[in-house]
Amino acid sequence: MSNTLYQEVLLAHNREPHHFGKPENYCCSGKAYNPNCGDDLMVYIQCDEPSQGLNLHFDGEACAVATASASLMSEVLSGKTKQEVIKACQHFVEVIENNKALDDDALLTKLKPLLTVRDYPGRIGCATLAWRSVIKALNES
Amino acid sequence: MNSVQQTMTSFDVMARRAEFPILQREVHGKPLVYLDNAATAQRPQCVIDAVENYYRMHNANVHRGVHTLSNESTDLYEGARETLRAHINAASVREIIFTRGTTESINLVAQSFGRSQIKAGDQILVSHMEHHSNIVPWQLLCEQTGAELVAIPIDEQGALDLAALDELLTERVKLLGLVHISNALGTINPVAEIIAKAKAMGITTLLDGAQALPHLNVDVQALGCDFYCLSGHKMYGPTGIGVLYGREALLDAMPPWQGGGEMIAEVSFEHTVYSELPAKFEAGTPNMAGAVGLGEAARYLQRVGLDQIAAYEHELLEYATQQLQEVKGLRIIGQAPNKASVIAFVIDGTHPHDLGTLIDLEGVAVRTGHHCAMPVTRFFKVPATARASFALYNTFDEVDRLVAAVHKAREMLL
Repeated sequence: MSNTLYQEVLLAHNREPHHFGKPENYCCSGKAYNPNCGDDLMVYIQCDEPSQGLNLHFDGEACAVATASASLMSEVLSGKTKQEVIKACQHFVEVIENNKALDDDALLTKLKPLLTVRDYPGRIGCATLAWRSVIKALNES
Repeated sequence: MNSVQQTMTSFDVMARRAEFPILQREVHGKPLVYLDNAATAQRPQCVIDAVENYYRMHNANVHRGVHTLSNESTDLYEGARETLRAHINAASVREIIFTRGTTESINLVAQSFGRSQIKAGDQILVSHMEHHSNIVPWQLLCEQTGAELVAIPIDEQGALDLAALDELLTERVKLLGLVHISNALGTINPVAEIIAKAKAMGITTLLDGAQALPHLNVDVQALGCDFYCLSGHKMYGPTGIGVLYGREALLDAMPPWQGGGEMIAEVSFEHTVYSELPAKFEAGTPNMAGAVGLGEAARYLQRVGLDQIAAYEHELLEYATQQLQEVKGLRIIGQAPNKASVIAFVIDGTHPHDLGTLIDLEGVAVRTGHHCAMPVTRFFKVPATARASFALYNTFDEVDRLVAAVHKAREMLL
């Protein structure tokens, strides 16, 4: 297996994650914590203007895969409605965990650098960590 | 060749490596460098052969059989018990109970000795550097009895705070459970000295020896402990087999833990008479092949010589410590003065999981995470660590491979 996981896109998102930082106001938040590796992120969801969709941010400390995944997630999902966000999160978890094909969605194609994580069984949980916390937070909100 | 390598003339590491078939394989197209020995060591050919030969030639259920294979199997199983007795210098084979490993040994003591002897208000003393297997069985016991679990603090180097220990050794403490060598830090605890203090106060003592057996000569009578727990797979033996050593008088007085075959002398629906030691604590058909393999692993360690192994591993530890410390931003977690060949580390700005994956791509196996000792990572305020743990077959070249892989990973991530 060549080193296809740590591509430059992923490393760049890890070094300078997008949508990083806790916003002053948010409607709900979700803890993304994996005690086995110590990944510990918090996802914040803003929904002030329902017509403009949700806005996602996150902060915390985690590995490069979890951080880059949370960064790409916040970028790709911001602007979508609550139902669209839940659906996209569930789809992404299925893509990673059950090896499904990624929907041919212009935004989702940005997630392609994360798909190689499927070759690294010990790291799959890192890629889905933030996404799972969004599903949980929105279902409970 | 560096100066450290030149000093290593007495220990023939290449001969040892040839005894471990798995070391011939490649990972990601590179020769395997196996540095996850604290999680599980590899097996030498003699252990693999002993297990295979048992299944191929002697397999039959032990005890009470009249046929030839059952007698052979019993002789091999009981012979392994005698080998383990001699290996840790127990006074009698009645003190050697075969278990699934250290975890089961500790649970046996907690549920048999603990539930019969420990009461509400009593204290069980462990340390802040314990593996979860020497924390959770006592927490379960505390829930069942109303006893209290207390932890001896550690210092910034990862050594026990012995002054605090003296304060904590009170008449309320009924049992002291202590790790001999920490899997997360490498710290070798001054257990003989601590046991002497505890014994003087009438406290029952248990040592978790899972990490000690591959590195040290262990003499349970010299240590003076009441219980000593070990795992086969950490000491080059099979998985699923371990030992609980217990002083005979204590084991005799303890109630059985699990019921079933092997542990009974006579059963009726009105009354059951339990077997004598050690069978009283070995319910069910035991792991016969595992015991035979473990006996062979103990003989292997004796043939190689634990003093020689310890001396060699110490040189590896010193060399690896010195080389890793030269990596910018690398901090070693656990720098006690007396350490076994375990190096846990973190690197500023990187996560241990990323290091672990990238190091693996260079063919080097290290473990990342909390190493089943979450109070330790919490104490050092790190989410996890990467851990390289060295065995008798590791070389100075392999240390260099590790250090090169760490440099490469760090450069990629930062």
